[in-house]
Amino acid sequence: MADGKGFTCLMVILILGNIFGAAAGLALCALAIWVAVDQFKLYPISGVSGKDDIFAGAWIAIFTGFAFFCMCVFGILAAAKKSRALMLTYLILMLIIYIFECASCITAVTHRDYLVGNSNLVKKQMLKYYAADSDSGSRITLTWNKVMKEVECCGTDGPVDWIEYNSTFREKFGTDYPWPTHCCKRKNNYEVVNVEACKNGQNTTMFTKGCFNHIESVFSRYTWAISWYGFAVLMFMFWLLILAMVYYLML
Amino acid sequence: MHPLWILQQSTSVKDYFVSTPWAGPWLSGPQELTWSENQTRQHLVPDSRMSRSILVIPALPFHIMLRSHESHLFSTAMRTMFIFFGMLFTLSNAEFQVSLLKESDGVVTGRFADSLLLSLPPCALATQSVTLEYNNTDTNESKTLVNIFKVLPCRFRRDIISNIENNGQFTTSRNLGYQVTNLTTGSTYRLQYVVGAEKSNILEVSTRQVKDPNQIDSGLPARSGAMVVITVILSVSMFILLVALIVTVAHSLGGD
Repeated sequence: MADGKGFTCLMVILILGNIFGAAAGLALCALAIWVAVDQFKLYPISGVSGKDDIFAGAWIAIFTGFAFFCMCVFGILAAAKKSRALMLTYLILMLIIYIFECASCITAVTHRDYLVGNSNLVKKQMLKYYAADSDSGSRITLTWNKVMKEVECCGTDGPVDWIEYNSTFREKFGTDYPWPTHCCKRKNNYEVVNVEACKNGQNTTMFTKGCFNHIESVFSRYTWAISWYGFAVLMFMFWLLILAMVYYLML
Repeated sequence: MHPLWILQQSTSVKDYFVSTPWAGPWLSGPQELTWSENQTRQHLVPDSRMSRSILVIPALPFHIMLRSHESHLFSTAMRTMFIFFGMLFTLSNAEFQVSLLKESDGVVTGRFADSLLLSLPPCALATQSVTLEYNNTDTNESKTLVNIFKVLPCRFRRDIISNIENNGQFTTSRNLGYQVTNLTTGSTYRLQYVVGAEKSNILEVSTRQVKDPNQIDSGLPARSGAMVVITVILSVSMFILLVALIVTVAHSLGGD
């Protein structure tokens, strides 16, 4: 095709788009690293349930984000050099990375729906695994103890969960303590303020809100980082790739 | 207008004890009480020591009208009416109320699987010992717990549970209710307090039935809108890109 003004314009647009795409890809990589690090330490809840693709999606996004960065730099080179072979390589590799990133976004958001669509899965897991004598049990117990202490909550929807349902905790420790002592308010030296009042269920000595709101908000935050931001990057890359194909046809 | 009323009438001498708001920020200056016996009028100006309420006035067999600067006293006819209504009110409340403790009373719940939290008898029955009778309506077994505690006296705040808060400087105890323990799960009970001669109403409640957690359905609740949007749009875009790439390569190969 003719090397006219439109052609130069397209090349410039492609180079600028690739620069922006490289930045976006690097940001995706960084965000995915944040999700994989899991600052709220809630991975066991998704890990034990088998629905941990929020974190799998994060790992994929680390690699695809970095790969987008590398490919976009390569794309600047290919566009500037006006080489057909390089542009074809660019297009094929970008498509492969595109497909992987799509997989990451879709699976992260689907597993989030499984985990925190409603409180049933988290509640069932808590009742089954809290204080259970297994590896999963110890991970769940430690996670819940941490959440109940830091977020100042008890149970999934409230302390009533512990007395409404039978649980491993109840079978192990009997009904003297209706709920774990981590539901009770503690002083700065971690001593329980009033054990008897906590056993009776007095509002002033124990936490009465449920932990599900916090768990749901954390998983949602991770998922929006991976799937919605990944979606935004992919939408940008879609148009960039269409333009790159047009440029390739003009070469 | 501030109300005056007669507090009580002594039996020997017909004296009227009158309650008046003698001392109060809303009354300015010394107040004067005047009453008339037949045709004569008498006055009483209280001195500063008479801060409030009690004033003794020798009564007469005749109807007396007492009037202060600021108020009128109700006549004797009205007084008997008030006493009558007062008696009616107390008679209807001979049976006191017992109920389960609720969230508004400061607890998470009043119904556990094997115990119940009941409210306390009113403090008017203070220092009398309390007996609780309950029976299980399913198995029809009755149980009586005799002299479980003594009714606590009224304090400035009548609510609250047995909760001793000690912050090292002072201790406050609060009394909220009574916990009936050793009950069976998921059964209905009828409970009644007996305090001396008074009984409470019969409270019919059931303890919680403990459910099996395996019954909780933890399958996928619903697909969220976000999931549908992301999946659909990304799938379509993947497809379009693939098709476009194939067309591009074919065109460029065909064009060569």
